[in-house]
Amino acid sequence: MTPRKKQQQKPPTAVLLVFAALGIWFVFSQPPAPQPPLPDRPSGPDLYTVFSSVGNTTQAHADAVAFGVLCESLAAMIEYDGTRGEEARLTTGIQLDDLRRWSREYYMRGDSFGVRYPQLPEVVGGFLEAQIGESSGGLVDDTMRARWVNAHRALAQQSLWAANRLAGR
Amino acid sequence: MMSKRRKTELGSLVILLFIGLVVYRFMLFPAQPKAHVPLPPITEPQPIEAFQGWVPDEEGTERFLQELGDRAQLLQANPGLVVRDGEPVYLYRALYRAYDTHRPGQKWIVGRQGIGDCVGWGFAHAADIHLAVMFQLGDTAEWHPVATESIYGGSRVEARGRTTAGYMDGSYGAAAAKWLINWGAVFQQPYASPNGIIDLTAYSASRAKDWGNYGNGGRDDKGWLDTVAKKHPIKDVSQVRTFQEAAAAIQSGYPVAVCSNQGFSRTRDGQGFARPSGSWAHCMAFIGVRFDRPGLLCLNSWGPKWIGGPKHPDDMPEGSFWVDAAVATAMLGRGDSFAVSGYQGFPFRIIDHSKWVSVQEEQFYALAP
Repeated sequence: MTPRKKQQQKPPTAVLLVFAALGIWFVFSQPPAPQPPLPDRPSGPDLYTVFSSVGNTTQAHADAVAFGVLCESLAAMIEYDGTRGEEARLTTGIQLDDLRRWSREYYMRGDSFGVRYPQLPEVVGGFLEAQIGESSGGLVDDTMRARWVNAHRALAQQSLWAANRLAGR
Repeated sequence: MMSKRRKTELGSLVILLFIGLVVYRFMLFPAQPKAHVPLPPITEPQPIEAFQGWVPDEEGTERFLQELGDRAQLLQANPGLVVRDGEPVYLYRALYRAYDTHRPGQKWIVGRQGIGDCVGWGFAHAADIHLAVMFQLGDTAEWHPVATESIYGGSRVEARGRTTAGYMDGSYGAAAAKWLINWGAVFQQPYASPNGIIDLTAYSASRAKDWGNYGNGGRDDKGWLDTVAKKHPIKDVSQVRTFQEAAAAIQSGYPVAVCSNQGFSRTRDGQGFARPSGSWAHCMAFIGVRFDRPGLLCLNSWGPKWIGGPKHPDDMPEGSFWVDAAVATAMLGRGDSFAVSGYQGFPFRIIDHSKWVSVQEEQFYALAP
């Protein structure tokens, strides 16, 4: 074979580089795989609107997660206390209210959700009052305890859903 | 040989010399007052049985009963009370639960009087346990232990219309009962008085001694702590005179402060009973009833270790013992024992479901006005 024919059989290096660049561009230019759709907002108060009312999405996401975790913890503690029978410590509405007040204070290191999200107390208060009813602070029976648990668990679900949406999912 | 005259002279001289020597001795060395020799320190503590303090006043008790009128006798005031035979009731369990909310994780242990203020202790135990029962039933939002010094001082001064009562220890049941219903309970907590902080968190024998003379609040109180006491009066007290009456009261949640002269052994028998022994002019509290061997559970105020032996049930308070029904009736028959019922306690506040998410500036608790 003549040297000229040898040259014609081997593609030029520049062409290979161009094809490589085109390939890389093609791979990375593809749109990302579609995310699974966000589940419908669970029934309950619209906490997404509350938490998204501030401009700082990152802070709002963190607060929504914190509030959701707090509410779920409260629900779990109240529920567990009910399994203690005669040894239950949380037997009045006053004690339950104190538990959540202290939990919020310690979990948030004294910080206040209501300061950053002025709508939150009213939205949360209205929902809980509708679910639990106006409480005299007196004795809590099993039915009332279940209402407290379910209501705070619903708040947790709402808040965590809002956090997911704020994260851009 | 000496003449008679000479002998007389010599004898006179000797006598004069003797007298002179005596005078000389006592003039130069007058009798010195004996140096004060301090008493040896008390190396042995007073026996616990020395701390009693019931000083009956039959006239005072009778006057108080007349003031009570129709409410004086338990069953007369509460005709619906009947003994439910066979049903033991242990009121101390309500106290345990209430104390756990007051001091989470800590077990209630009976205190120990430091002077003869047993009447303050017996009625404080009764008030504490009754409020604990109310707390368990949801009739009060809070539970706090009562300051014994307040009852003791109030029973000696205010309840008797005195300004001072001296430093001899003791009081009587009707006076303490009168203090509790006409004034009320002061609790083991700090109070911000016009004269500074009065911290009643821990019992103080010296404070009890001082208030025993000057009344509730002490010398410079000028009635301030009396006003505080009136926020939480006991609603009713009734004289209890028999085991049956006491059993009915206890089964309804009303402890009985018992004043008597009956003493007991320091060892419980196999069923938790203490044998009558000796004489104690003393006030304690009946806080339980049983019918397998009919008796009342008696809580003393000498700490947890003054008595030993088997317990029934296992969780009965250290420092308590069972008293046979007949003995209990004899104790109650002295006529100065009272059941405590009703308490101006701590009303529940309405819960605001919106407030817990924010920091609150105002004080969260509101006691009864």
